[in-house]
Amino acid sequence: MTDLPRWTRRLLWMVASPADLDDVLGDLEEAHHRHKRRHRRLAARALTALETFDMAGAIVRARVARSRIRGSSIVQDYKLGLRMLLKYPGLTVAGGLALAIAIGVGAGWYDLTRDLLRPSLPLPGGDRLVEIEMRDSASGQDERRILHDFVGWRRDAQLTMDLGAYRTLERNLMLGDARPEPVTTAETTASAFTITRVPPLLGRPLVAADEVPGAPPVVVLGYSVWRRQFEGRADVVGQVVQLGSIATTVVGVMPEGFAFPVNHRIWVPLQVRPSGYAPLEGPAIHVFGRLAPGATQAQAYAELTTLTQRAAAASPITHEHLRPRVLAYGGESPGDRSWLEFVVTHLPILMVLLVACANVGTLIYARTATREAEIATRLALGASRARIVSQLFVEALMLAGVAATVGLVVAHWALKWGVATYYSGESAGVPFWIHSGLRATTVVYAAGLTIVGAALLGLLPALKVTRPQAQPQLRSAGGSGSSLRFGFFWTAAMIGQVALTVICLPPAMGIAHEAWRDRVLRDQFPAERYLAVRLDLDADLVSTTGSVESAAARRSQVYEEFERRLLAESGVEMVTLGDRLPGMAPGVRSGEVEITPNVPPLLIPSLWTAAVGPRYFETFDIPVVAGRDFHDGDRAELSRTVMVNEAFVRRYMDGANPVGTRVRYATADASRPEPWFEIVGVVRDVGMTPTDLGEAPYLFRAVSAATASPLVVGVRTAADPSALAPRIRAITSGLDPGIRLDEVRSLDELVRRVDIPMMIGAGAILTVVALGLCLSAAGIFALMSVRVSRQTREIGLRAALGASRGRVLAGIFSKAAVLVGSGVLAGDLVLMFFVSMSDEVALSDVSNALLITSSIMLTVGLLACVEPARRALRIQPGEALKEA
Amino acid sequence: MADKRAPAPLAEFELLVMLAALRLGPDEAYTVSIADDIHHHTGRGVRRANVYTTLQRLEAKELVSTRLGDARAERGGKPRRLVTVRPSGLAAVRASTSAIQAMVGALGKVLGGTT
Repeated sequence: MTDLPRWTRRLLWMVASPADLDDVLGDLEEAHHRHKRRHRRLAARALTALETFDMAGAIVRARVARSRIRGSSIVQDYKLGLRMLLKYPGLTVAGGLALAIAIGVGAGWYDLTRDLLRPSLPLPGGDRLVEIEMRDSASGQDERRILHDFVGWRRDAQLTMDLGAYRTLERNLMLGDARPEPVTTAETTASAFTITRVPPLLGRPLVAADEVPGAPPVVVLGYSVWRRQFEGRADVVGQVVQLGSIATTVVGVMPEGFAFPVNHRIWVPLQVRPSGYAPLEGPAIHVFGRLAPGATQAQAYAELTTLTQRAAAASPITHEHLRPRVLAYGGESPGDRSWLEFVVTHLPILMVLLVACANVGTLIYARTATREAEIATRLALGASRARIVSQLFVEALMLAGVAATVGLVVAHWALKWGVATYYSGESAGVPFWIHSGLRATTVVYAAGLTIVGAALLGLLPALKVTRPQAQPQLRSAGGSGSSLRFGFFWTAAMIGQVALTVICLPPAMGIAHEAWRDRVLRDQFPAERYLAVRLDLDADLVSTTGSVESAAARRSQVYEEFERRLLAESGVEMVTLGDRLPGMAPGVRSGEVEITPNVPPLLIPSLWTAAVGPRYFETFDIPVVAGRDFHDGDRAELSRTVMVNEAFVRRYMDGANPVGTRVRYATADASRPEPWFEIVGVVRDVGMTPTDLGEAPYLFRAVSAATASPLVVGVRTAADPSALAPRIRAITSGLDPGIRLDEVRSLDELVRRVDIPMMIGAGAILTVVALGLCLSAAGIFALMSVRVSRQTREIGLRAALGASRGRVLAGIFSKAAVLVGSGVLAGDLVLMFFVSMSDEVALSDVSNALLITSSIMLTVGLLACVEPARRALRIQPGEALKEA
Repeated sequence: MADKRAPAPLAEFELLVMLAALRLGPDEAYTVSIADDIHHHTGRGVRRANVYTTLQRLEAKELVSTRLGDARAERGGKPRRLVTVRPSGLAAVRASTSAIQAMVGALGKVLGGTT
């Protein structure tokens, strides 16, 4: 009977080979007896503990020395791991895909959340830069007309230094008689240069004197503009260029890579009146600053809140609901680094990895079970437990490593593509802090995830199959039969996996179906006959000191002339304008409709909005089916008329004529409701908005060229509109020096740009769910294979005693049915629970989907049993009994 | 030119282990008894782990061989791994001790007649 503590034996089991284990334990036991004779109990145990560690160290040293003599065993493990990947292609493909998705998604999420929450700015002390926003707590919208507040903050704030402000403008830059080039311009305070601590390449940056109204107009050029338009000439400083309609002197050039505040190419001073501004006076601006040494984001926020409350006391009408926010620059993190941020960054990744590992782990566990004879032989030949465990770990690492490589490559390209697509519509382009593709740190993080994944996959089955209690069984295990069994954990994991697949199937099928229907609907619309032009003017006339009215008048004049010239072109049939064209991403707000006077209005959670100009519906062949079209009177500023589509009438008016009914936008502040609008007409559904299925409730407002923002021109052509696109720049030449064409594309191309992410998203979801289905099938197959393998002798015995083939099959299929049925039931119950909690989906809506997905899952589960069942039927009673 | 078949020289502790194994004989030499024997004759504290490592090394050099003995109650029913010095081991011991004796012999006066 041994006296050694249990941990001693466990430790030595881990390091010593079975051949050495007994005599090493015997030595320790003997030493322990001596210690007990000579010392008190506690001291004896301590001495034995020391000796155990000493012995374990000696064993490891001896093994390392041996492995050096015999050559590297690790290399052998990797070779064996590679052979295993090739030997079990099903597991390699299914498990590898699951891990590739988990690691790819995890790495992408880690990269993305870091950029979104708290990006790492490539500037000296970039982690101390903050962005200050003002939010209207009543509407939930950002209030950017905060020049008044900015002047106050800059004067009084102590904890935020170098406060600055900017706004983005698109300006035409002209040198001599060259064609004007639109350039993303930052109209900014000089502090943009002091805060970033980046010295100019040539000349000087903007300085405080440039901000004074009336100061001579100056510009600082970005590196790319300097290289491209000025061919990198050193004498550019002091030259006069035309910026929009203003002659401006170049005072400096910034070095390559400098693009603060976002992705700006040139910088002009934001002129701020020292006397200040009235509340909400002036244009929309963005405010930035640097935290004072020792100050935290929370302290800066508290100080700005106090200053804002003071402003609210002085001006309650404009500031009652305004609240400042201090964000990490470029990010969305509203506070200092916290555990919550850590959790948001890491927890979803670990969850995805855990789900994938549970799935793949089932397969690896089953494979390990089929290799018991091999493991037993190796143990009998003197391999230690650590040796076997490390080999199985290396095999899992090979699988996870290959999967991680695939996952990371896909994630890298997906992120690159995603960033390019997301920012393609933004005038400022990709912000300078956004890294296109995965960062090196993310790859290191993913490597860590891979090792964790491999440890979960490889170590658990390896430790179980080589545990001391299993070794006698292993040694007696022959070529057939298995000592491993799927215990509670793996069975629960399998049921969970089936349930998860059942839960994900209906939404995935729904999304795929919807994407397909969208595609069909959108194909019916002749988008290939339209050209979309995004038109704007340089904002010189809408500056901090200019007049808004004159800018609107100028905009109208320019548009009218542009329209006239367009219509004179051959092939152009009609021209209209709006803030978006059919097929472009819609604006969505919540609204209310007054069905019956004096009865509380009905809430519309998602009201899709579009602002439309003259002849909009006519241009796009959208007939007015009730009431009337907009006329010029509806475009007046105080007009309160709207039109809706048929889907609106179907969904909220029960098909009744809505003309004369009132609607308004919803607001969080009941004391300040939005004004009512009267419905004057109904148009047919277009079915061109992604995911609307032709059923989205639309609200159309009337706008003119002066008020549409952005101003998007739609041109209907008789032939291919792409032929007209190159002509557009010629048409606008000489029209106005400040005119800008931000986007000239066929509507078809724009629609495709919206479609592609949607189709890819639907495809990705379908792939993941199909993979889940495959993994479930593979898991059930593995489980049943192991079960048949374990029961070889029992099945043989039953066959010898006269059990029919039907009874043997029933035994296998009934167990699979119970397992899959449990998973299906659990999944259905969870799904029904969520449906019962939802206001928008009724149980009857999903009952068919539930039935179909449950049937699919059951069929897949039972099909997975076919091969194990065939194996069971091939068992010869005589051979099975001989082995028994 | 050195003789390729000459036994590899033994380190000091290896020599002590070999000598103890020879003294105890193939039926009594194992890790614990070898450690005790060295301690008894030299008075120096010996870690059993070091004896284990040394025996592993000597076995790898094919100077000793080991076999499992019978189970013993004081060892918790575990067997002893008994050590037998192989002829090559004996040759190595002889070579090492001869070298030491040759070196010491010339220093008799200095060392006070240890030989």
